[in-house]
Order: sequence, then C-alpha cells, then structure tokens
Amino acid sequence: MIVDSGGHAVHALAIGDRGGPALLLVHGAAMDRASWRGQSLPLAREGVRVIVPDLPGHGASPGPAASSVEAIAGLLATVLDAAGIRAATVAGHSLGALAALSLAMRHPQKVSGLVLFGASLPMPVGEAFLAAARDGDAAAIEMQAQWGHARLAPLAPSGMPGLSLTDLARRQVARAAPGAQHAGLAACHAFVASDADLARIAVPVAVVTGTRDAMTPARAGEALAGRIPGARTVRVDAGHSMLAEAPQACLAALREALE
Amino acid sequence: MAHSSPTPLHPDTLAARAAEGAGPLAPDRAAAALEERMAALEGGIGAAACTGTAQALELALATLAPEGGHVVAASGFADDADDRFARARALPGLRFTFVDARDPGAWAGAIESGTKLLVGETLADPSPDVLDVPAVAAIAERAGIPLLVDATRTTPMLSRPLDHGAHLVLHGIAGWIGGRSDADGAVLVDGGRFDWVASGRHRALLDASAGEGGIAWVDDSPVAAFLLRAREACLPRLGTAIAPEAAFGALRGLETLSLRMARHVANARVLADFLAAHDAVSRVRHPSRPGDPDHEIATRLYPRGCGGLVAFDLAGGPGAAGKLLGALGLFVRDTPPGSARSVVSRPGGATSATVRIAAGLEHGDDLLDDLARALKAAAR
Repeated sequence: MIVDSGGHAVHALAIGDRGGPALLLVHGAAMDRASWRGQSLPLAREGVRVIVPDLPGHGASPGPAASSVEAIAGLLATVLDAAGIRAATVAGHSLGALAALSLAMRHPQKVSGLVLFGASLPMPVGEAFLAAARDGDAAAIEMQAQWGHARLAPLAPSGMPGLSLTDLARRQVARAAPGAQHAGLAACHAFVASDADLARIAVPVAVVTGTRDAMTPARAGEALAGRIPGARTVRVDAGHSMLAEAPQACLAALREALE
Repeated sequence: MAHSSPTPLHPDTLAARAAEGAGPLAPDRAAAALEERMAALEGGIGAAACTGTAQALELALATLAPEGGHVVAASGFADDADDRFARARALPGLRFTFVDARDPGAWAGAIESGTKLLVGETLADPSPDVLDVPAVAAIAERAGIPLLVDATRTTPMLSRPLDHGAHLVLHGIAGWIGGRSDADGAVLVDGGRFDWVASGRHRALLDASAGEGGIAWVDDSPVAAFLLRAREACLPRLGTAIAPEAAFGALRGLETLSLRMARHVANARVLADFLAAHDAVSRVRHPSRPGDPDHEIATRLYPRGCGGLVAFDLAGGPGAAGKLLGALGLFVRDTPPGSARSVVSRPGGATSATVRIAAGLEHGDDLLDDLARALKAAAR
C-alpha cells in the first residue's frame, strides 16, 4: 500500500488476513521493511494483518527522512488511518521502538499493545557516530554494521541462513537516502519522555533486549521496562540487530504480544 | 573530516575460522555456513551454494530470466569442453553472445534490449587474460544490467569483484577454494548493490504475480530481492543445492586458503620467470610479469598476486610440447587446477605448442628442477 503523508508517498507492505489482529512493524534508523522479514511473513501466514512501512527516505519510500521521533509517530498514525485500522499492536526496533512508544503516548487509542526491540530511554548516540553520519562518511556505515551486531558476528552462524548480516546491514544503510541515517540517529539521541508520560501507557508492553547488544545494552532496556507500568522484558541471545540475529525468538515475542 | 570506524575482520581471519560450528555433526549447517562465509569474504549480502558451476549459472539465470532473454558472456565461457552454461542452455528462451572479454567496446556493442546478464571471469584459462572488472562493471551499470563475475581462479584472497563494481560473484569450490580436486560445488554471491527497480529488466523480481504470496521480491527486500528469489523459489525447484559433505570440505579448505594462495602465486611467478628466460620457450603468459598484455590491469586489481596459472608456447612446436609433458615428473595431468599438486595440460590439444601450468604447493625449487629437466628432454 502507498499512503500520502504530507505530500510524500509512504510505501508499506500490507500482508496477511484483513480480518486478523493488526500488527504495525516499524524499522530502525537507515533500515527498511526487510528488517522484519523473519517475523512479518510467518505472522501474515498465521492470519495476522501485518503492516510494514518504509519510513520516508528508506526502502521504497522517497523524501527526506523524518527528523524527530514525534514526526515518525504522526506518520504511523496516518498509516494506520489509511489502512482503516482503529488500533494495532505496534512493534518497533531501535528508532522504530521510540516511534512506537511516542505513538502510544500521543495516540493511545490507536495502540493496543507495544513490543519494543532494542530500545532504551534515553537512547544516546555517540558524538563520533553522529558526526560521521552527519558528514555522510562511510565510517558511519561501518559503525552501524559492526556495533549493530554482536561482536564477531561474521564468525558465528547467521540468524538468517545463507545471509551475511553485517554485509546486509552495510548495503541497507548505504541504500538509505542521503541524510537518513543521521536524521534517524539524531532523532534517537534527542527523544525524551517523562516518567509521567510513560506511566500513562495503559496497554501491555514487552521490551525485548539483546544480551550482546552494544548499542542499547540489555540493562538499559530493562531500565526502560521498569519505568512503564506492568511492562515485561524478554531477553534474546543477540546483538542490536536482534530481528535478524535471533529471528525466531523475536517472532515468539511478537506472537505472545498478539495473544 | 575523516572519521575512524571499527575495522572489519580481515578476509584471512574470516577464511581461517570458516569451519567453526559446521562440523560433520551439524550437516544441516554446512551449506548455510559456506554460503555465509563466502558472502562475508566477498563483501556480499548472502549466497546460494550449488552442486557445481553450471548449476550456479543455471540458478542465476532461472532467477533473473525465467521468461528467457539474452546473455552476454566472455569468450572463455564458449569452451565446449568445459561448458559452464551447459545447464543454463536448457532453460527456455535464453540466447548467448560471446565477446572478447578484453575489449570493453565488444561488451557494450553486444548489449540488446532483452539482455538480462553480463558474465565475465576474473582470470581466463588456459590463457590467463585478466578482466578489467571496473570497466565492464561501468558498462553494466550504464546499461542497467547486472554483471556476474566468475572469480574461481583468483578466490577472495586475490580479488573481490564486488569492490570493483560487479554485482554477482561465482566461485567453483573444487580447486582453489577447497584445495582438493575430489569434490565439486559452487557458490553464487549476491552483492546487494544492484538496483533492480531502476533497471526494470527483470520481471521475475519486479512483478507481484511472480513473487511469493503475491509480494514482488523487490517489495520483500529491495536489497536482497535476487538472493531471496534464488534461495527460496529457484534453488529448491532446481534441486541443485550443494551436499553437506561438499560444503564442509570447502569450509575446511577455506581455513588454509590465504596460505595456499600465497604459495600458488609465488610458485607461478617463479615458474613464469624461469620459462621467460629459457631458450626453448617462445612466449610466456602470466599477468604478474612486466610486459604481459594484462600486467597493468593485474597490478591495479590484484595487489596480492595474479593467480597460479601460467601459459607458455614452446619454440620447438607441438612436438616439443608433447615431449615436455612426457618428461615432466612432478606435474600431474588430467586433474583440475587449484589443488596441492601442480598440474600441466595442453589446452590446444596435440597440434598446439601451448602448455598450461597450474602451480601447486610443492617447493618452487623442485618444480623448477623438474621443469628444467623436462625442457632439456623436449629440446632433444
């Protein structure tokens, strides 16, 4: 499906049973819908109505990347409206997790559950990483590819058989629109939410942490869960790119949230 | 300003640690482990491993052009004795044009509106011509056609064609990669760099009706569309996935690849220099030698050396070539190149004065002694 958002076309994968429970999946900075491939296709086959947008400047969606988490949350609300979905379970990874959180705070009626993968609050991004991304330096691609996976990931079996995940991430980041990586990282870095904001979240929340995550360490994810009433944590054996590094465990976390 | 980034693992390390987690007790991991490691060595996003090179080329074309189409390939692929397109020719509606690989104009001139793929090889055999990958890749990019490069004879230790603009890379694993001549298999690596949407030439990747579950492969993943269709739709249907034993053998071979390639390269260079200075030899081809027609390209593209193949002509003609082969003791015949043993052959047959050596891993002095003795015998 293609949704008009402020004059820009947002392309989204819309698959599964239109009458099934709705699930909105939101990718991270400089990634695209394919980040969710290990989860979106199996869930769609199980009858879930799955919507996976490419955020502007990512994947098939043109236009400049959104510069704030709140702007992405507004765009997600537009996507849900366009799909005729009143409320969905919303899952996000990294930047996408913050956008899901923001959507739940700004449009609570549109969110029936949250699954936050690789999330922390705040989500600080190192100065060198931000500067390299701002300058369009290839070093920023390498930083995201390597820090975004468990250390020495290329020597370990891939979570997606036959795929070299760090190389796949390099190509995804390189393919994002100019400035998209920096916009996403800066949005992560700038996003704040108060304890009062978080306390108002009244839907089931799961925070999925990677035991080898170097970008949003597991303890930071657990600290976030501690600030949201009733939130539970799920630990998976993976780095920050847990959707690809541990696809089955992440799929299980989504299934549980949809039950 | 330049920013310092974490350093990726060196190919030598990726190769040395290839067989971890894929032992004989984990046969279901062996093929995927080989695919993942070859992809990482090439800097590709993933790979598909097949039973042989002809099967890998069949997979590439079944993935890209199930409706048929046109292929432009280097003339080295027109060899009937080793027809790497033998399986692809059986696919419906494919036509092939073979071009002089060293003439960029020939590549550009052969492209048609229905061309789906360009196919070259880093290093030809028996005459070790070097493909100017950046030049042909630029032609491919301008035309919106992917370039597949067979890099079997250089391996990722000497050349990474994706870094030079190629889009797909092919490796036969029997010889150089595996280090043995008693197993076969091939790996097709996707660089994830080709823009299938902008090209618009490959309906099988673009049309929802050709995708899985009504989703076009490019909508499934813009970066990995080719690889996903190859692995998930085409390879299972063709039934040519590599056997676990062959994959594990190749992984074991990869562990020593960096050391073996260095020795292959060093021995080839020693033999080429010796032959060039010998009265009984009228011409030597090895791209590492100054004066070789491809020396400039080889120096630019292959800083770690230009492979283990040496071709030469005997001044004494076909008769001398026959005598030479008969007199050689250390060099074996009727064996594919790339194993531990040095191999000699007469690619042009009994009427040709050309001899091709694939340098093995023996000590260079022993190879030189054997060659010197045989050249003397051939001159009698």
